[in-house]
Order: sequence, then structure tokens, then C-alpha cells
Amino acid sequence: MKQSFITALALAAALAAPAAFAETVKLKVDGMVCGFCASSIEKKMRANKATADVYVNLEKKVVAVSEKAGQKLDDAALKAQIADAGYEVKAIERVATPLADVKNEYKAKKS
Amino acid sequence: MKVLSSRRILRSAKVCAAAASAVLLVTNAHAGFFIPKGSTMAMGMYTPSESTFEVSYGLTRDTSIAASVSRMSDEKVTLTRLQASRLVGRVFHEDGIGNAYVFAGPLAVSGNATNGTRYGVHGGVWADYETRRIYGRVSWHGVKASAYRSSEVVAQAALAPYLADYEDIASWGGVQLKRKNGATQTELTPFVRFFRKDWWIDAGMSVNRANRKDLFVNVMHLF
Repeated sequence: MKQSFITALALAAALAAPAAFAETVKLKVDGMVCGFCASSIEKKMRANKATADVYVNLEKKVVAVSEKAGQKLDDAALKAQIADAGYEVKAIERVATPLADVKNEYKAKKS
Repeated sequence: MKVLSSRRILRSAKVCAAAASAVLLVTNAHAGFFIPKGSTMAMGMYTPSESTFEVSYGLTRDTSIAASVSRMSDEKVTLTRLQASRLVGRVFHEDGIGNAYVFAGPLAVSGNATNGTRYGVHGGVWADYETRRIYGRVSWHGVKASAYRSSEVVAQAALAPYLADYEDIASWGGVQLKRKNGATQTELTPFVRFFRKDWWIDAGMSVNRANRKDLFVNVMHLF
């Protein structure tokens, strides 16, 4: 009886986990060559209430934004914010990978 | 009395000329007009003969406004300048971006030597292109203050010795060529540029003997 209860609890926790898991949004931004100008993108991304963290990679022209647990970043709003910063978003990809791993992935590619 | 008036006019013309030169210098020290919507940029520039403080704000993606105050120590005059700039063209490449702007605004010159405040206008066009490795721009800027008119063409080229990423300090070395209307000589100014995230520093000095005082340091911060 006790074992069944623990199994059921573990199953419930496993099912509930994906709903709370925060995604990382990767935005491919053309023309993002200057770190000074790109700093405005970082500021705009950080100003979103749903943003947990931001990573900018000039080499790959990627801005990666992680969501806070239980919150969702709107793709259209992100595109509009980057347009306001003066750039164009060429592609958006959502990955179920923590931002730290995305960052390490790009750093590994560089080295 | 007539002599006094003539002297005053001459003095005033000199001050306006100095002010116009300062306006041109200020614009040269400017990094450009790439100011994102809703962002504020502050710039401080120092030369042995002038110090300037400028604040710019991005009204829209394409339009920014700026206000600056310059104090010229030699002429003991203060120059106040307003400016609106408009992006008229932007091209995106995967590893590059090009911009074309027009800009214009009023200016006021005041101080003991000006016998009151004098007003004028300035404006110009600016085009630049940059990648992570190269930077180039050309600009034309004209100033009219009282009876004084001046204009100049500036070209800048810069090269980054290494490809800096966002978290690195980006270093650039470059040269600026400047030709004022009516001048017999083109001024050559080597400069260095460093930036990291929201901080930017430019420093350079003219190599022309007559312009040794044209050392400049330009610091910017994007809020």
C-alpha cells in the first residue's frame, strides 16, 4: 500500500513536471554585429516579466531568452521588441534546454 | 561707433565660426544614430578646447532626438544644440548592417563674446556599414550660424584586430579623413575604439600640425 502510494506520487510529479518546465527561446537576429547596439536587445529582453535570463552570441547572431517557471514569452512580442531595437528576427526556435546549456553549447562550438 | 560695430560683427562672426566648428566636431565624435526605440544614450566628449555632453533618445525605431551642450574654453562660449535624426534606409546581411540617416536641428550660441544669444541651424546626411571586422562611414554636415556657413565631409574606416563576442571587450583601430569646405588640407585623425555591452570609448588625435589640439576622448553609455 505504502509502495503504491509512493509510485503514484512519483508518477504525478513526473506528469506535472513538463507543465512547469521553462523553455529557452532562441532568436536568430540578422545584422547583429555590434555589442554596444546589441546591449539594447538584452535590456529589452530582460525587461519582460517572463524572462529569467538572456544570452547574446554575436558570432552566431543568436539571442537566447529563458522563461521563468510557469510563465510564457510571446514570440510576436519578442520579434516586435527586437524590431524596435533596430534589428530583424529571421527565425525563432523553442528548445527544452536550460539557458546555461544553450550557452555552453555555443561556447563549445566556438572553441 | 562704426568701428566698434564692425569689431563686434567680426568678433561675433569668429564666435559663430568657432561654434560651427564645434558643432561639426561634436557630430564627428558621435557614434551614430543607432538608438533603439525607448532607449536613452548619454555621451560625454572632451578635447583640450571643448567639452560636450549629449543625451539622445529613440522615439521610434527610425527616429531619434538629441540635445547637447558644448562649452568651448578658448572662445568662452556655450553652444546648445537640438537634433532630430531619421533612418532613411537600413540593409541587413547575416554578418553586416548598413544604415543611412538624415539629421537636422537648431542651435544657439551664447557667451560674453556673442553679445547675446545667436541662433543657427545644422543638418546633414550619414551612411555607415559595419560587420564584426570592418566599419566604414561617410557623412556630410552643414552649419549656418548668423552669417557664417560651413560644411564638411567626413569618412571613417576602422578594423577590428580580433572578432569580439558580446561579453568581450571589442577593440577597433581606424582613421578619419575630414575635409572642410574651402580648406586646402584634408585632416587625418587616427583613433582607437573600445566597447563592451553598453559602454563605448573613442579616442584619437589629428596628425595635422595645425590641429594638434584635436585630441578627443568620447565616452558613451546606453541606458
